Amino acid sequence: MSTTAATAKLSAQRTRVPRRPRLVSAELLKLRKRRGLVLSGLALSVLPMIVAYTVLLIVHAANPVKHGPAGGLQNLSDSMDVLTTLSGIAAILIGATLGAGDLSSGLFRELVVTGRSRLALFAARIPAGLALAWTLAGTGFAITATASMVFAGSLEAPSATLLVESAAWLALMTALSLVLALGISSAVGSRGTTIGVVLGWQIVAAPILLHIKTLGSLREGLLGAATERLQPAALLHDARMVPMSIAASVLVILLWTVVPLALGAWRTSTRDA
Amino acid sequence: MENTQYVVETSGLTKRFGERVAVANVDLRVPRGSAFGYLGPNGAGKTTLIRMLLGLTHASAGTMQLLGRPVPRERAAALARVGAIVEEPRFLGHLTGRENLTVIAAAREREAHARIDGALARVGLSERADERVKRYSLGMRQRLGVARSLLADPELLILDEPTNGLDPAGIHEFRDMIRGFVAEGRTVLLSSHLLDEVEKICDEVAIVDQGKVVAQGPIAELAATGKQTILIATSDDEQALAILSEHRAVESVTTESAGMRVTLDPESDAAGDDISRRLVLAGLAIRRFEPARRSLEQRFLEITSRLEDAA
Repeated sequence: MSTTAATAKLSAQRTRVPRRPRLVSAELLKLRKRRGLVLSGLALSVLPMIVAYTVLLIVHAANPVKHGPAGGLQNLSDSMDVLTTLSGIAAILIGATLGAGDLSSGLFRELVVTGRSRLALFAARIPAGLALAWTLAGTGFAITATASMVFAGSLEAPSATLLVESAAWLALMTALSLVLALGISSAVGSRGTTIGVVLGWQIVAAPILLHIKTLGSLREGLLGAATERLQPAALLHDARMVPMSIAASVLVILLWTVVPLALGAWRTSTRDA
Repeated sequence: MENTQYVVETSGLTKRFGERVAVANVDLRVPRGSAFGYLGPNGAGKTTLIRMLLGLTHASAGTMQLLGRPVPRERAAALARVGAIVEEPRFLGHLTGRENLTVIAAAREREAHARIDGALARVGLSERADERVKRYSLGMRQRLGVARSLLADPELLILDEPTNGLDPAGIHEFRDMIRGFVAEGRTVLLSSHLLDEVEKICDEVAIVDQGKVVAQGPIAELAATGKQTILIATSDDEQALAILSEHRAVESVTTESAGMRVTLDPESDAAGDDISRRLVLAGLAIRRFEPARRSLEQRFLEITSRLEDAA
């Protein structure tokens, strides 16, 4: 068979398929099939909300005088603290897996061999990670919001506006944790190292630095200070630790988003596969 | 552009890792529609060259063209019609075979999705396609690797040590598969350290050693060049040995059960005729006088040992 004839035959075998974001779908497929990751995400984002409201309901039912209703604004505020932290951890796990998973499995090499742009391969990870992280956080939030409304009893129930603001706040915090972990993990190439570094920073180091008042306005550069500025007032327990303008907080958040992603994208583009 | 005579062309291609030169000034031409062997001992720089061709690592110097397109400048367009297995094919163990192909198809042109079932059938994995890859044997993974490279509908298949870890039946099957690809008009660039394997599968070969291509061409031509060997048996081998050892064209004589294996200086034309004449004039009856069938292995060993001597 001549080359020309063979090429014509091979071309004829090709059929059209519908247009859709295939790389993102593929990234999401890789993520959602990791049972351990999905179960960890559920255990962090959903299970604590179910357990917390179940306990609140039980203690209220056992002693209504001593323990108030399970719902209401105050319980929403408390549970949002927990949900934000734990969904952030879940997002870090997802981001670290997205950034280093292909490298550690050797699949990155196979993807590069397709000729697809390395930047496109990197970029597809972001929406896929957000889709999973937001699904998990959203499920946890749905439980929290529903319980705070349904079980408010005699307490003040959260307004629809506050619920929307809280959802947006949670989405922002989850997304920031995800992109931070994704960027670092893509740059470092190690899931374990990324989880350790980002969790250590987010859970331990950054909160300690935020509380050191002698650092003054330097603290405005911390992600925690910037996000606190955008936190719905009704969810705050105390006064804001670092006074700063909304514009400054948006700028700091943008920097904490762009820099890790740029670092991850650069390393993905330049590393030997 | 797509019908160039050579599917791979490199010029002065070089890769350095610090002081060490892994690929040294390689000029390689792989003809379209052939099975081309890239043959060399372990550590000769075969995989490094393939990794440069595929854009997995940068070249230190030189130029490359894949399917007539310069790489890395037009790498995406060139690799769209290239399928490759580099070293051991890697997969996500928690996904099924079909899902692994789906992931790679997503990175290729849209039509790649439609080729998944056909590719799985081609390598005989349709029945096991929905099992997780972590349960696959090494042979099944190799076949899945081939199926994955077929998603590109490749004009060029680059296979790096593809028979590593396969049992004899698997190797035989693999050999047939590769010849089938060539029969379809595809080109196969096969990198291997297994001489016998390359000789059985390939039409042309480049022999590489210490990062350099030391010989290149059709296998039959390559094997025929170099030192000439003649198998001789006479009525009195001791006397024949004395005659042979005095002949200036004879480089070495090895005594075997069926006679003698005589290696001649490749520069000496008609040395065989002269030897036979001298043996007859000495009154010996010649029972056997035939050129030994030269294999690629002999040529390969000659070339690589010559290099070792020079070093």
